[in-house]
Amino acid sequence: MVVRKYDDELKYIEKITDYSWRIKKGFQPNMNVEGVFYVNKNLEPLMFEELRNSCRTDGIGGFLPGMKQIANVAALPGIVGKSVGLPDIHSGYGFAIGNMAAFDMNNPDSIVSPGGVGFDINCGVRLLRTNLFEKDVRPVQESLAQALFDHIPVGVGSKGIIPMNARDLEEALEMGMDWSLREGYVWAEDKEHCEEYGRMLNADPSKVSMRAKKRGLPQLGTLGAGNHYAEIQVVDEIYDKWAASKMGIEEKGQVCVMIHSGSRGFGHQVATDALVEMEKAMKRDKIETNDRQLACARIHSEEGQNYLKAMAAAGNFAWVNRSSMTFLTRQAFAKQFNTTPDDLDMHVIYDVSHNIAKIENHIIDGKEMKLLVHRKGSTRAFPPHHPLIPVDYQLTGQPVLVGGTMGTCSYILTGTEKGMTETFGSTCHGAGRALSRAKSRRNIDYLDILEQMKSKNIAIRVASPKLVMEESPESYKNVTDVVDTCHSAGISKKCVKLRPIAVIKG
Amino acid sequence: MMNFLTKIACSSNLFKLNNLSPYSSALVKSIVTTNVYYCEAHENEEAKKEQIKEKIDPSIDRTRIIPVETSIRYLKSAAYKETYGDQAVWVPYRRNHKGLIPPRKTRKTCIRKGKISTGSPCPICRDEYLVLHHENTDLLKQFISPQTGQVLSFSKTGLCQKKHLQLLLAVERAKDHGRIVLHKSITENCQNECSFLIVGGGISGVSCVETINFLAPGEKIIILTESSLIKSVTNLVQLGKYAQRFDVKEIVAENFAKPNIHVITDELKSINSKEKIAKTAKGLIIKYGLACICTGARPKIIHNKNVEEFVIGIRDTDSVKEFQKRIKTSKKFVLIGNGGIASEIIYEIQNIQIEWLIKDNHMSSTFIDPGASKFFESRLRNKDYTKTNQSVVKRMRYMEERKTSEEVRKGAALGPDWHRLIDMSGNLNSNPENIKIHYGVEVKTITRVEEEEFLICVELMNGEKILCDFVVSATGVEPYKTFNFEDYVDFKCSDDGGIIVDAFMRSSVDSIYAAGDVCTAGWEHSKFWHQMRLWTQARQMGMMAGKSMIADYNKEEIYQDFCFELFSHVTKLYGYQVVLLGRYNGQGLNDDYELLFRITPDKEYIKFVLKNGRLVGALLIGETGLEETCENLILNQIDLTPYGDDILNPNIDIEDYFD
Repeated sequence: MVVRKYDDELKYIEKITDYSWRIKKGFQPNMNVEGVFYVNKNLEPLMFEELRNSCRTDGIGGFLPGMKQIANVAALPGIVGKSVGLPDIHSGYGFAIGNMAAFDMNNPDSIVSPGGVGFDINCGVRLLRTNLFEKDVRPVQESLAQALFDHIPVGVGSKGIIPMNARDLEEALEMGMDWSLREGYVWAEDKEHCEEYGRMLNADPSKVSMRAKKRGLPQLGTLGAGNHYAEIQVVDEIYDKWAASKMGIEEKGQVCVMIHSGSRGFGHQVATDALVEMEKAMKRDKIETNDRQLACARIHSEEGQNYLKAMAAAGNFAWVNRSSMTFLTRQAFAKQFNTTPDDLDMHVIYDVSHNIAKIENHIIDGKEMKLLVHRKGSTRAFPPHHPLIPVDYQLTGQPVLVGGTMGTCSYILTGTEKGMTETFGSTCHGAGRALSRAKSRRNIDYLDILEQMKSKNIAIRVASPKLVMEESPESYKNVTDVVDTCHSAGISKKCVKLRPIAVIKG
Repeated sequence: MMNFLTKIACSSNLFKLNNLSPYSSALVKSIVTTNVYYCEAHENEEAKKEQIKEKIDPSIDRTRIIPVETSIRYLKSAAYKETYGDQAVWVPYRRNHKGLIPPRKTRKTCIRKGKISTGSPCPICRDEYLVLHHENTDLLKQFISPQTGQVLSFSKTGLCQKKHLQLLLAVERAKDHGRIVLHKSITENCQNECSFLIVGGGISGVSCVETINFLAPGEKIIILTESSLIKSVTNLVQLGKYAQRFDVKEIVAENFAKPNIHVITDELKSINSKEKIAKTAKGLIIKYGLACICTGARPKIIHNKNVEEFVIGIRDTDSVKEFQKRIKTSKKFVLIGNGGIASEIIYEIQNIQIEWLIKDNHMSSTFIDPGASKFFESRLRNKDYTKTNQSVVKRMRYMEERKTSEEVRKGAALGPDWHRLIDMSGNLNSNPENIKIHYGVEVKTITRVEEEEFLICVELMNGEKILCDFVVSATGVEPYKTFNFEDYVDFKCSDDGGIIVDAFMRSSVDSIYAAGDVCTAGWEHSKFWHQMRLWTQARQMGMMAGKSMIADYNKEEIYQDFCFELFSHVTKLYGYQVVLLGRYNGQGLNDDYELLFRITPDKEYIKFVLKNGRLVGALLIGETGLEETCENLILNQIDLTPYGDDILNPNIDIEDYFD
């Protein structure tokens, strides 16, 4: 890694517009293309603060700033266009979260990287609408949240909704939402409103290790911890009345349910297995990267293909997972309001994935190219009239669901033509969380009491307090800022704002 | 009802046919001959000639009448043994039918015109020496279910309708003659027959029952519990994927019962594993399909005849009552042990003097390291008596009205939060520095003394003597099983007395499973799992046993649950949530590891155990929110070397980083 003074680093970064910055070649070694990132005035200082901090520590320390990670991705073989950082970017394993990059399928050197997909493969957001209003739900809010909590399974899971044995799991991995449909847990319309129709066709369960299957089995139909949640939300503001009405959102105060979940341990195991395989493949094919975490393999190599197939299976797993929770949510509402989910109009508005790699056609320099698009912490946002979006949204553009962190508001955006040309039809996925504010800032020297343990000749380290910055609540990328940046930069359009009234954590 | 109807049908047939012939076998012949005769009469001379001409193949000829005595001898002969072995005559028989689904009824008859008229005659017709007759009880018994005493259906045995009717007649008659006696116990057993027998009403037992009932609803399950209160898990909170926090609720056993779940309050005395019969102390006999032993463990109590009444163990509801009674009337007691229960007693007890004897150099060593115990110590010292400690616990508590009944005898073990329902304050009103901790000591003897103030004296290895009113022994547990086998088999047990089980919770005895504290994990442990007799594991094992029993029952194949890949336990100590993951104390790593800490006094204490730069265990105290991340880091074995100490940098959200 190149170590420079902060001021020297800044020479490589150039402001293009009020909302976007360019990272020039040379910022990191071997960059094939330029990098770009989108920030507005509020997010800008956070980005640069990160870089400044890393300069201060002379480049030592494992966590690279987002900008460096964008540049490292730009140095991967076969990358086309730009390495794009979205407003909610923050550091992650390999690729930064909120970084997307596309690789040319026809270039034999192009690579696929598990770090570019993330561990929680096909983590995504699904939004269900209802025809209820806030006034209907408020009085029963508590019991509804409890009902959801009871229904969304923890531990052993509800029978039938979750594949309980090995054979069911294999089928679910191969069929994705078609499995849920066959078993009668989702409606046929749900599939329509789902990326890829809820099924990655190239999924191959035989490429998934036994350990991954074992790890995934008890987790189907569970929410997951961390930033995963289910929320009951109400429409707070409508920016685009026409597009909102296409989604079935008519008025302020309408109640929706957002489910944010992924493939959990299953995805983790698939990614880990792939990382191990790919490290070997890199040595064999002599692929050089700037960062060891960017383990990758050529798309057309065996490892690359195996990973894509296993990833597709994990994608299907995540859809089955979200579908199971959709079913349970419908049950909970139906029970609470003593009616049927049909009468409550509980349709899926859309289901987006924000940790996935997909093969898509894009126009680069006037030429149509087949690309492998890695989206990590970024959501697909296709413009109106794109063939891959459902009929209902052909005129509005694809709905993009952006979940805030728990308890903050969420947004529905729509895809735009500009986003298609600038960011390969991608936009932000939520709030940025890398800099946490909730954690303590002081690290008291506790060494004296750890002396006792030292007697056993065990190396003892205490997380060093030297990097700790002053407390600032703004060191947190607010979802509203993130969405505003995307809107202003034109890569997607604000449509609806939602605000939570009850949160269920898995 | 069904039974009754068949009986009527039988006896009416009996009545009709009795007029014809006294014996059923003779009856067959008479009917056959009549038929033949009837045919002859109609088909005059020509047919008669044909019949004579046609020489009947002896193998299908059934005109010869075999006396029943021959048949009885035949059944005892070597020829019979060679043909059928020990099996019932219908066992090797397969029906011949078109398509996948056999027709509901078997054919009317296999013998027409005195000879076999079909390619696959039923098991009785195909062997002419098998004669259905009430004296031929050896044969008849093969058609009677040993479990219910009823005649097996033709759909199982494959008998043609005619023979089946004869069988019913013969059995009925044999019963009338007293040749077949249904043992009384069989009829009794019918009530206590179940597919699954679970012994023990603790966490593992109840988890097992719940899993079975969930996977195979409606299957008959019997729970045999010694206490009328059983445990149920409530308020399950998934912290990580494997770490779960839960509360335990005690419910009256009867309330747990469902139409298919019977709760029997009794003690298991013996098991006959071949016959699959369990006998209880009250003499009840239970016939089971699969059994699971979840009898848990009992506290190890320091044995000493003279002072037995002054040493109490804390394990179940009963002993807590005793403890409660004692602290009300005492001024000072000695607490021995360093596990969870001892820690909780220390934290919760008020207004009484305690001398705490610990054999290690720091408190609560079962769960935490010396550093963490220091972290807690301030908490203990500043124990606020104005009930602020209550606010720390965010969990909901179940304030059940508990009936004090005589049935509460040997209850199952206490759960987390056991002290919630119990007033644990003594009778001293002043608040002196009332906890004294003795590190690194062991008890030598306990003797009775007749001094004015205290009743007994505890002498330590180092010669120190402590006077007190009573001793609480909370020094861990040992597996507990009270029953024995009738058929000379026994469990393979480990050194600690636990029943050794394999990855699917099967014991070495056929059809018997074991789960919870009573068993010892005999499979090859994963790198990050070790057995500890804890709540979490009792629950996991119970559920695993349930799953594999169902799999065995349905002949399915299952994987071992993934929770056995990673040790995880969640508990509360001194009001903090404590999460233990993997090799949280560097167990089995031979001191070849690194530790990484982040500590915020009175808030959180995070310890990572790293080996070769990879996370192998973690201890999380306080609300850290890192549970799932740690689980994933341990299971993924990602190299964390590049991050160095920054992995616990409070500014970085590693939770999100590895997403």
